[in-house]
Amino acid sequence: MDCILIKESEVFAPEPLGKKDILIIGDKITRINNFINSKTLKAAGFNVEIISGKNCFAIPGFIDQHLHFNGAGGEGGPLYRTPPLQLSTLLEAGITTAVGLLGTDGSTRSLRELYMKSCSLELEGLTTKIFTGSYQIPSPVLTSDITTDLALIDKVIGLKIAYSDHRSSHASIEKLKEVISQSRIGGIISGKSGVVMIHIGEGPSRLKPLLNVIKGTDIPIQQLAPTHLNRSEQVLEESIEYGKQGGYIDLSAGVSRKYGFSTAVNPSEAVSVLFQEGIPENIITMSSDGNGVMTINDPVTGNKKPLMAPVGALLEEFVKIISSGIPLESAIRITSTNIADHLSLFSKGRIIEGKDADIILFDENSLSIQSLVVKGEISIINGQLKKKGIFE
Amino acid sequence: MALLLIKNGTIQSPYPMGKMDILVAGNKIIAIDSNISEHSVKTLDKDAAIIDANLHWITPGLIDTHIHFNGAGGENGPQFRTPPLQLSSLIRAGITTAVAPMGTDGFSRSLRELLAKSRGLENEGITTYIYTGSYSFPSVSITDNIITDIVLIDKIIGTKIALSDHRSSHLTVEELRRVTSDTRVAGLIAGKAGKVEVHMGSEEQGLTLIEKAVEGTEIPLTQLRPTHVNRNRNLFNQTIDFCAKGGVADITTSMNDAAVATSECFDQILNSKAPLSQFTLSTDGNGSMPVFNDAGDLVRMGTGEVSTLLTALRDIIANDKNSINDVLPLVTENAAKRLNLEKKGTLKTGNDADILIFSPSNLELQYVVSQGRIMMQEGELVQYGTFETPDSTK
Repeated sequence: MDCILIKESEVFAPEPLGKKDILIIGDKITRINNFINSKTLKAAGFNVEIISGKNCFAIPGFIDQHLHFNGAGGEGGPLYRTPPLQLSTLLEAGITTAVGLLGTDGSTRSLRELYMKSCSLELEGLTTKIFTGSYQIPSPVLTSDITTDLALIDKVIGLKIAYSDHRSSHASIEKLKEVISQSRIGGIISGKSGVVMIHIGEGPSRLKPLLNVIKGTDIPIQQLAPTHLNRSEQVLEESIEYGKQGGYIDLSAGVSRKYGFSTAVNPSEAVSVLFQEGIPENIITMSSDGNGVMTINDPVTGNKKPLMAPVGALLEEFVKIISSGIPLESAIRITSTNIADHLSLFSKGRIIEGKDADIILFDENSLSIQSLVVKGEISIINGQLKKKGIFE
Repeated sequence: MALLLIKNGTIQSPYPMGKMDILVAGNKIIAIDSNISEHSVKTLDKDAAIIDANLHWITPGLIDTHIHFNGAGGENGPQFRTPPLQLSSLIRAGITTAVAPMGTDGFSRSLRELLAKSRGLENEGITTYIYTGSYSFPSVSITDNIITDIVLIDKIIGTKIALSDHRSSHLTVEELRRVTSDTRVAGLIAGKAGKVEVHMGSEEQGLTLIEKAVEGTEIPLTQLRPTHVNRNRNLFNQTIDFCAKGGVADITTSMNDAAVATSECFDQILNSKAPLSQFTLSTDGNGSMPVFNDAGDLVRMGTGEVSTLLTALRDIIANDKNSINDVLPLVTENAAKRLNLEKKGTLKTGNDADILIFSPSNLELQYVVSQGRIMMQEGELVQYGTFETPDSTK
């Protein structure tokens, strides 16, 4: 059988471990040591594939907990529905674990299609999960209800809803409590996180309803994952208060001024703001919102214009974070480790013996992906894509 | 992560490979070779487990494709509901892959409970799958119907139905054809086997319904697998013809006295035109085994023994040691092929590390390795179910 030996990379677990060799057998990280001898491996019956990690950081693959891999959008009509993503787009963005979800359109878009797309990406080599629900409350489901979806469907790890947004259902606080409880119970029964991914919009209530839910119940604030919190200065401001109470803060890499979101705080700048405000780094996360789309009216032409969040934005922002002087270890936590912890993805998010072999070799000079191993398969080598989806 | 090296065993892959070493890492077989260096393995992992299997037989873990691990029965009232199995009984029986159907009671018993139990056993260390449906028609399902069950629920790989039995729904040929079509299409969509697991009763028509259901269609005869075909002599004779024509069938090892014993079935197959590759053995373990009189009244109640897969192997090998080459595929490779379990049923590089080590004299189980984990060591259990202890399993 084949094994992979990554030689002499600077390993970040996310903690810096120094220069190490990493042995990968099957889909797992088997051994991390100062020196692993390829001859010993050959003597034990292995075919050894050696990857040079010289001048590279070895970091855990990105975990994108908000990625519209089966397409999103449809605001402004069917013209603006984004198509499903193909494997290579995710690999080139360094995403080794992706959590798919629905958005505004929970009526014509289908959780079943999302589920099958997630199965297909998994068969192509990634790790995928999905959230049940959509913006709407009551939530669309795969089975009979939110709890049952979590309990019966392997890939469902939590619930998506929207709040404080003109496209949400404007459900009452009581309804909000109910759906959060249902997701939590589903998580408890199935041994999953049951996290509720909450799209926060520009509505004036912002994060206040979430704090009301937490105040009135003994549901821990960590049950929630409010996202797009860099969408405006006001929302980011409130998220500082939210974070001070221990709540996770998810920033959207694809929601930046560069991509036309004119009121957004650029994601890497938002990280700096949160650090300055003393928010603990272990509750800050970043997801791409990749392949998501929002339609605006172009002020010049008067025509509709889609604003797309690109999948690669997570990698771009990762580079900006480390270039801004924030330690690499912190940037890894924000894009991988913290998300694994929050979503109870126990085999993910760390380069430790026994965990899944999802590793980015990141060139320390060019700050780009040199090589990528996904579940023990070499997917990018020397900057060249080695794997493609079935229809690519 | 620990490596495991099994030295000098006599490998039955299920076919004879002679004396070989097996290296396991994680849940996979990494290498099978004539001499894998123990020193190298220890250098890579100083905590590596080394098992000396000299003079021992090594086989794939057994695949039981019909076992009621969440309990069955309930005929003649709720006191006859068999309780769920615990991990230890499966490990002691050498079963590392278990596929569970529901039985007569698709009404008070729940596919959801079966699914949760299957996930529980999987978390405890073995591989599990389930069938949707039960004896009855229309089939019970977890989601909208049997198609969406097979497509949406990872663990569901086929549909259970009962035929030619006084407890069946006595569905028509057209209805059986529909169940088979739905199961097949769902299997195609999901990339699973999509097989119909057919409980056979004693009614005289026997397998003719199955033949009629696929007649004039493009559905292969193998889309349905009748089980309990050794229930009586007539049915088994009919099964031999059915399998000679390309059908597949499953022999139940825990059948009561009225049935054709497994070793007898085996001899009859060998002396027939039906190839052994068409057959599998399963336990029907933990099913209730009611005995009815001619009037249809329950006379007594027994339970299908989970250990009978092993005892059937022992019975057959007791007559002729070489017959292991013929019979072992029935509980390993054939079973895996029937249900498209690609990483199961044979010992080869890249396959799941589900491995049994037997003492050769009496086919006593010494080691059970499931998903790369040692579950039994030198004949003693070393892993238990969540609600078991060394004391509770004695």
